[in-house]
Formats: sequence, C-alpha cells, structure tokens
Amino acid sequence: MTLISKAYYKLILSLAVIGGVLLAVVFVGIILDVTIRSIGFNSLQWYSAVAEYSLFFCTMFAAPYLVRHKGHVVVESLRLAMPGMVRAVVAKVVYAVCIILSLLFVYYGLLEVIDAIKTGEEDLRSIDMPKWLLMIPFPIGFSLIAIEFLRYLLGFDTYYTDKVGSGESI
Amino acid sequence: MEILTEWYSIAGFLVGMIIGLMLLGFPVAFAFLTTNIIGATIFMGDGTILSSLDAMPLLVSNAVDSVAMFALIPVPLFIIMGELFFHTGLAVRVFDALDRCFGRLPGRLSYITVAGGTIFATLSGSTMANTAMMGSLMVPEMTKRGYKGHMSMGPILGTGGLAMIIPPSALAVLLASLAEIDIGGLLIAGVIPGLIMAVLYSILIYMQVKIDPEAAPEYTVEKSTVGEMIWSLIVNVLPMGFIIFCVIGLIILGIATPTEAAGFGALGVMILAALFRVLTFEVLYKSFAGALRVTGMVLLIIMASTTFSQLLAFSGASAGLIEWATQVEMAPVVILLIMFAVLIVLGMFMDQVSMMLLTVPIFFPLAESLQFDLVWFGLIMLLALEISLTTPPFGLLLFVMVAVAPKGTTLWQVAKAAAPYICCALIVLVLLIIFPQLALYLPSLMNK
Repeated sequence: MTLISKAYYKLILSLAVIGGVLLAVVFVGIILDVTIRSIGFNSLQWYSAVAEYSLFFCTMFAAPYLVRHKGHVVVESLRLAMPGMVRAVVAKVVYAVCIILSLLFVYYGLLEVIDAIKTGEEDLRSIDMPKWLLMIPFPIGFSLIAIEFLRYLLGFDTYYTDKVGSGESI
Repeated sequence: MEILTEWYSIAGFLVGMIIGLMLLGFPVAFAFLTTNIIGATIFMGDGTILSSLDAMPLLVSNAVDSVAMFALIPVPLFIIMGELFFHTGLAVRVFDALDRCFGRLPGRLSYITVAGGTIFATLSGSTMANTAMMGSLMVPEMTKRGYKGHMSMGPILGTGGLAMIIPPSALAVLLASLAEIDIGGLLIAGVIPGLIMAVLYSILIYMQVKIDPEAAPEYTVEKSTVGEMIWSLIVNVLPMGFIIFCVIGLIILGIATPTEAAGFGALGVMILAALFRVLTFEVLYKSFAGALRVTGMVLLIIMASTTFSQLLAFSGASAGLIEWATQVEMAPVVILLIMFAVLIVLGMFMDQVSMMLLTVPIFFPLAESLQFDLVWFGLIMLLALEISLTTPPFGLLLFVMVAVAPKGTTLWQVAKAAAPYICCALIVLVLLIIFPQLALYLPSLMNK
C-alpha cells in the first residue's frame, strides 16, 4: 500500500514538475521569439500555439498536486462558524460532489479524445496539433483530482486548514 | 423553476449559488463547475439531469479554449518575475539602500515602507507576496523601534495593494483578458493613480507623525555620507529602473506587447540576480514552483468559470440587467458606485480572482452600455479589488498581516491601521471619477 501511494505521489509530483517546465518553456520561448525577430529573422511561427497549449497543460498537470497540497483556494469563514459535526458532514459532501464532477469531466473528456482519434480532427493554430493530444490532459488531470478528493473523503487527510484567510491569491 | 423567469431572479440564483457553494467550503473552481452544470440543466436543457449532460461537451471544449489563450501568458510571466524578485533577495537590497537615504526623518521607517513598497509594486505583480514580504521585513524592525501599530502595519497594507494597480500587475492582465479590453492600456493606466496613492500615503504618514510624534519615536541612525547614499542608490535601486523600463517603458513606447514585456521583465530580474551573484538553481526552482502554484490555481478557476458568463448571457440575465440599467433613472456615476460597493462587499469574504470572474461578465457589459471607457472602468474595478483586500472581516491582506505581525495582534487592530489608507484609496477613486485623464493619459500616448 505504501509503495503504491509513494509511486502515485511521485506521479502527481512529476506531472507538476512537467507543468513547471512548461512554464519555463513559455518564458524562454517569448525571449527567443522577440530576440530572433529583432535581429531580422522571421518570428517563431510555432511559439504562440506552443505557449497556449502549455498554459492548458500546466493547468491540468498542476491541478492534482494542488489538490493534494490544498492549493486551490477555498473560503473557510462560514465553515468555521458551523458546529464540528455539521462541518465534518459538509466537508464530506463537498468532497463527494467534487469527485462526481471530476468523474463527469473524465468521462466526457475521454469521449472527446476518442472522438478526436476517430475523426482525426486537428486543432488549427500556428501549428496543427491532433486534437486528441490537446485533450488528453483533461481526463488525466480530472481523474487524478478525483483520486485526491477520494483520499479526503476516505479520511486520509482534510482539505481544509481551519483558518480564515488561508490560501493563495495574486 | 417557474420563478426563474425574470433577469434578477436568474442572476440572483446563479450568483447566489456560487457564493453559497463557496461559503460551504467548495474550492472556488468547483463552485463554478457545480453552478455551471446546474445552470446548464435549468437554462440550456429541459430541466432534467439527462439534458444537463448534453451541455457537458460544451463545458469540456470551453474549458480548453478558456485557458489556451495567448492573452493570459503575461499572468505566469509576471508571477515568475515577482517570485524571482523575492527569492533572489533583490527586494532586501532596495530597503537597505532606502534606509541609508531617509536620515533621521520622523516616521522614517513608515516612509521607507511606502517608498520600498511602491518600487516593489513596479517589480512584482503580486499583492499578497508584496505584503508578506514587507510585513516580515519591516514589522519586526518597526516594533523594535517602538512604532505604534497604525504606523507600522498601515503603510504595509496600503502599499501592498499598490501591486494590483501599478504594472506589472498579474491581476490587471487577468481582468483585461477576461473583459477583452486592451491589456497594455489597463496596465499603463495604473501608473499615475498608483503614484498619486503613494504620495497620499506619505502625506498621511506626515500628518499622523505630526499629530502623535510618539507613534513613531525617533532613534539614532548611523549617518551616511552623500557619497554613500548615492552609491547605494546607484548599486541597489537604479538597476531596478532597468526592469521597470523593460516592463512599463517598452509597453508605453510600443516596442513590446504586454506578453513580451512580461518575459523581458522576468529576464531582467534574472540578469540582475546573476550580476549580484544571487541567481542559483534553488532560487530558480523556488520561483518556478511558486509561479506554478499560483498559475495553476488561477487558471483552473478561469477554466471553470468560462461557461458561467455564457450561462448569464444565455439565460437572459446579462441582457436584462443592461436593459434595466439603461432605462432606470439613475446617474451613471451612481451605478458605478453601486458596482464599486458590490465589489467591496464581495471582497469581505472572497478572493480577488473569484470576485473578478463572478462580476466581469455582469459589470463590463453594463459599463459599456453606460458608455464608460472600459480601461478607466477596469482601473476603478482594480481599485475596488485593492480596497476590498483590506476590509474586515475577511480581507485577505488583513490575515497576511496578522500572520507576520507581533504575537497578540488582533484582526481588529490591523483593520484599524488599514482604515486611513482605505480613505486615501477612496480619494483616488473620487479623483479618477472627476479627472478620468489621470488613468487615460498614459494609455493615450501608446496609441499615438
């Protein structure tokens, strides 16, 4: 069990690292693009599409890791005013709804992927990318999100810090 | 669902459901997703659960398109820039240099906070990071020197919020891309009002020290020669001007788009850090990890909320509100103030990104119908978001401050310290309403 959970954690951590690397790609790409353009060469045609795809990929790849580390912002003010028992029940309901929602997105995301493979559809931007490749992080991300919320539902941990004003923002 | 026929009941239902789910403890992104599915069942289908599933493919494709957007790229880049700035310790150098220059001025540490905070605001796009950084750096020193709470925490809370107004501001980029207005314009529009606010903060400190000199006791300061001061400024503050130019200058001169400016801003911080020999692998790792955390959180909320604006439009709530606002006999400025007040109230228990996503699809069409300049309106909205961060009982900056303030500091004390600074921000609001050119002058230069 420990081995599986360790391997699983490494999986969500690795996906988050890939997300971070994609952010670095976005950053390096924009510098390269402007530099190449300013010395008289043509702009990197592929950059805008790669940057756009990277934003989507890093969102989906970071999402399960953020659920694990309570990185998705929540409002704790009303929860804290609830009696302990009610608070615990509400938390379980929240986890259950989040799991159902995630599984719905996994199912419909997979349908989109399968449909895109069948039709050979391409996402037409500055580079043409097979649509299934673009869509695949969606079911992957949401299935791992569902597992993370399942951990909370089964009582391995709680998503909440029980402090008002916790969570990150910009 | 026969009661959901009027625009106000539909809007109230949708907005109320999101707020209700958030208060129950749903992660914000999931509050939006749940509302979207329930909303789609009622307004896009025939009211049955099965018909809501018909909308799922739309939700899925919306999700991808909403974040795979080039306009959003400055958001992570500005966050990377701010993270690098803090993790490399360049921020501390700015404070050290300013510390040498302020001599024995009464209330010197409060002024240093405002000056340093304003410079930070031009280098970092994150209000939370700014406040946490200044709080942990300045509050212990000010407490040691006997400064009263309102002289130490007030300036930090005030100038912390400037990061939202003065470019680079990740929140401004987000607002502009969601509202589909000129990103560069909104970024630049914040420069003059932000600087006015910093000046007002300084005047406030001057008055506070005049009224109660004991609030900021004088203490012996190691004297620096003029040469030392100039050298310190040249070494530690002047190079920051290069980064400011990379961001603000390049946008105003029309040389770079906001995306390119954001990239060069981050590169500028890296180059400076390398020159100061503080750029390490650990710093890079921490900066990118921090940027990923915030970017991932923000983009997932955007992804979840996109369908919400379509629901508002499809259900007739947006059109109904606009029709009402254009027919009602109320001065546009009154409607503006109502929107401002709504944001302040929402900010009492909600974070800024969620507030934006909830209100942009309602407020911007309304502002357009009232023929407001949308860049100007965007800035007013940012100002409201900034103020709402410091309004009790749940303004996020208040909690950041409580966390870094001396033990025993209460939320009420922090809120009281912030109150005069909120008044300064309200003065800027009035100035912006009377003189819109304060916001629109610099963007107009970009278009020449």
